Amino acid sequence: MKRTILTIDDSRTMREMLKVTLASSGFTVVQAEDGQHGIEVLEGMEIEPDVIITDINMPRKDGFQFIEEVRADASRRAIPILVLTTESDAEKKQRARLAGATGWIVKPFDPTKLVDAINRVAA
Amino acid sequence: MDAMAEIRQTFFEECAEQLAELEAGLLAIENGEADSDTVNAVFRAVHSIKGGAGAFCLDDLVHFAHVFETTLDEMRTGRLDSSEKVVKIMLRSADALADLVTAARDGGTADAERNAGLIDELKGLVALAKGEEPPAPTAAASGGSTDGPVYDDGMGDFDFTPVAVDISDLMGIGGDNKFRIVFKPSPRMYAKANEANRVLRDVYALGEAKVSCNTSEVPLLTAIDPEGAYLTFTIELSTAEPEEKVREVFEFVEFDCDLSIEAVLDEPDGDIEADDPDIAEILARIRAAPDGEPAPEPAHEPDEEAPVAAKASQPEPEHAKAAPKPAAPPAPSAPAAAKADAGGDGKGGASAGGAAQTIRVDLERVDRLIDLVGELVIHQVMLSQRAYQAGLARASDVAVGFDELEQLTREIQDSVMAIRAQPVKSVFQRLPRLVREVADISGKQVRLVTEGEWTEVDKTVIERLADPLTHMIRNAIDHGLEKPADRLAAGKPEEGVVRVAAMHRSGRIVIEISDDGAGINRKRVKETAIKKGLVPAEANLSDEETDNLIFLPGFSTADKISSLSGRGVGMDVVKRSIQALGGRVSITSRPGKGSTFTMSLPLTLAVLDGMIVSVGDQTVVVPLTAIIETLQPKASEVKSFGGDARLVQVRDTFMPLVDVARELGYSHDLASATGGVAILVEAENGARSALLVDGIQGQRQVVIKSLEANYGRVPGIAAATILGDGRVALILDVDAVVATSRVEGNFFNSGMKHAAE
Repeated sequence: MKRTILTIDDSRTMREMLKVTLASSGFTVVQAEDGQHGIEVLEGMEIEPDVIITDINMPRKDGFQFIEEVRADASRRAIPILVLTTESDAEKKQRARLAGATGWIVKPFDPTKLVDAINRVAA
Repeated sequence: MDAMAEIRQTFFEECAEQLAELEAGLLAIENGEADSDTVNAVFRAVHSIKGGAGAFCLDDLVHFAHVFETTLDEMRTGRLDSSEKVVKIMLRSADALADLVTAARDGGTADAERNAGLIDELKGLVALAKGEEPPAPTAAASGGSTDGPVYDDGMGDFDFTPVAVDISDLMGIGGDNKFRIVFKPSPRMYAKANEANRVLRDVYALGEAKVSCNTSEVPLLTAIDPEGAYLTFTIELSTAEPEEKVREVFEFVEFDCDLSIEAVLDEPDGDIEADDPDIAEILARIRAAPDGEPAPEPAHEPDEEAPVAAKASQPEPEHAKAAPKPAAPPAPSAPAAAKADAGGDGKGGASAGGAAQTIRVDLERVDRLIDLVGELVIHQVMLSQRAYQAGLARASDVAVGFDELEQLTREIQDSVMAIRAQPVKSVFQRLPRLVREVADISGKQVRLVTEGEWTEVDKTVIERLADPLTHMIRNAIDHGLEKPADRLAAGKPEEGVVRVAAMHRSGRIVIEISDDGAGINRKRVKETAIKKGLVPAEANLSDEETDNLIFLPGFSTADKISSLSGRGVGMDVVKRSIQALGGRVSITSRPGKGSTFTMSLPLTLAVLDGMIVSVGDQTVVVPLTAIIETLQPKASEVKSFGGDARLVQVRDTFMPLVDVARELGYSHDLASATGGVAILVEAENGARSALLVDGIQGQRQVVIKSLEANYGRVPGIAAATILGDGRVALILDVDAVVATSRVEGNFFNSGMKHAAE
């Protein structure tokens, strides 16, 4: 069965880029536009995504809040969450980690590394 | 378009949106209306641009955006205040960023010198912000302790009893670097969906590894916490990779485990794999966990998988097969994916707060729909006309049905046209930057006020509105407003106001550009016009006529006042480009109070207000915007000059009389001037002619059909349309006809002079 990735990014460019990259690697991609939307999409999914990839800086609900909210539900602790972050943001990595992120991908991402990272965390 | 090109286009579209947001936000900050949401939005805009630019390797853009973002971050954290000076630098940086985006899109180059200067200024601001407050150690640097005791891992003292998993006899790809790694996952690690076995697999991939597992902490089954973590792994790794690579493996988990990585100089001690309890026994203990319970923790997995992974001694975990490596960037299936995204993306744009639902549709599709609706309207009219000709009673139910159908089709037409309509905001939002630049160069203080930015008009009109609008604003600041000192002297505030307002008025969009400057210097305008021979020295002109002299071709080319106007564009060009859109422009001015330019444009270029005229046995449409007046020439007003050239006298001037039937090849003979109607038209360049036609049928709105797209270019014909009765009518290209009639300009000019005498 195709694995499903939920991507959350407020940038249309990033969403499309993730979609194209992931779809061409055989993943099913579900998209959300910010943390709040991400929660809504997640609630609406019949089967939990295999991996969630989320941006940090987003309107309404940022990536940290999103991750915390997901992790607050014990049944969702097993969903790997990768954070998309820019290189210089060591502080953000740290905060994402504290919020419960599984790993991170550096923006701009190398498609091969992105898929590697997903394979590293996805069951 | 391949997927990458499509994403690239999306990127630039998004950049435009972000730049607009950036500017709007900065302006709000400048006006002191900023809250933290605004500052965040501004930051995010630059951040987004940087993110996308990175993906396309637009290094200049990334670099600039990065510095800009860093500075904005200082403002976001409150270390940098939003004083006027700071915001000014940021506004200029936003302009520079916009230039970089444009350069990246169109392949041009941006002003590297200015950008370098701005980068220094931005960095200066960061330094300033940091200097004001003692350089707070940004967590960025430390990244260290995560000691949020979120989870209690329930560990007491432990007795280290390692379990050896010997893989040394398997294919080794070891190297000279040897490390001893002690890795003790905490429950936190599992709570973040990381797993020890995956980490170990990555370690195996690095080289030759011996892993031993200390299971001494595993409690009795009854005491096992399903979410606990009880194992400690000790790894002796021999690898060709440097320490960073080893640390990288633990990158995701290093703060959620106890980890030590030490370079080992000697051969690893042999004591680790010595006296271990039987691994099978431990596995049995763990597997005995009650069914239905979640696995205690994946602690058993390393044991299970280690041999597998080790045997293969290569990084590929088996499930990696399920997800083939991406064949480099996007595959061909991608456009469809992107398309689907575009369609399914219907959730309101994040910036709009999720309120308005929008979809993005290709313009081509909309145009096709507009075409089809146009056809529908025509067929509906034809159908009812034929039914009446066939004897349908006006009072019949069918006739009522026709009326309703007509009403409905008109409504559909209007609604479809509305799809193409966009608020003029997209043009208006470029204006603040323009005003800033022009104000800077001209040394004037200017406040821009915009009104009616949500007024909607057809997309093509919007696109072509920018140039004339830009020029008029430049003109308003450059020529309209006075220097600050002069303003003070005139009892006005130093800061001048340029107001741009859009509104709908009788089926057209009207845009007014007004300034509170000195108004038109009529004396000077008239002198200039006389000097250039545009008006006779003795001409007696009204104020309005004098003001409108500035639109005459050749008026504004000479003694240019400032560098701004050095672009060789005069108001005549502005007027022409507005006329090309089917628009009109005029000026009113009050000395000392300022001037107002008013331009009015059709709401769409898909339909046109036309005068329907008869020419021979044909019906021709003359665009209403070109028509000045119509008249019936008297024999005494028409003068013939050698051959077929004729002039018609209109009050005190003469102009060429163009026989349209002959011009278009409908007839060989010169029509009698007195039998028809003369339509006075003005071409875009201001040249006037009188068009002789047989009669006027009426005035109506027609749908423009491109002749070039459906047939071919015909000189003298701009386009075609289909009339209500289904007949095709040609729309006259007034410019071309007027130009032909004035080909021998000198002849006519001299002729006119003679005639006038």
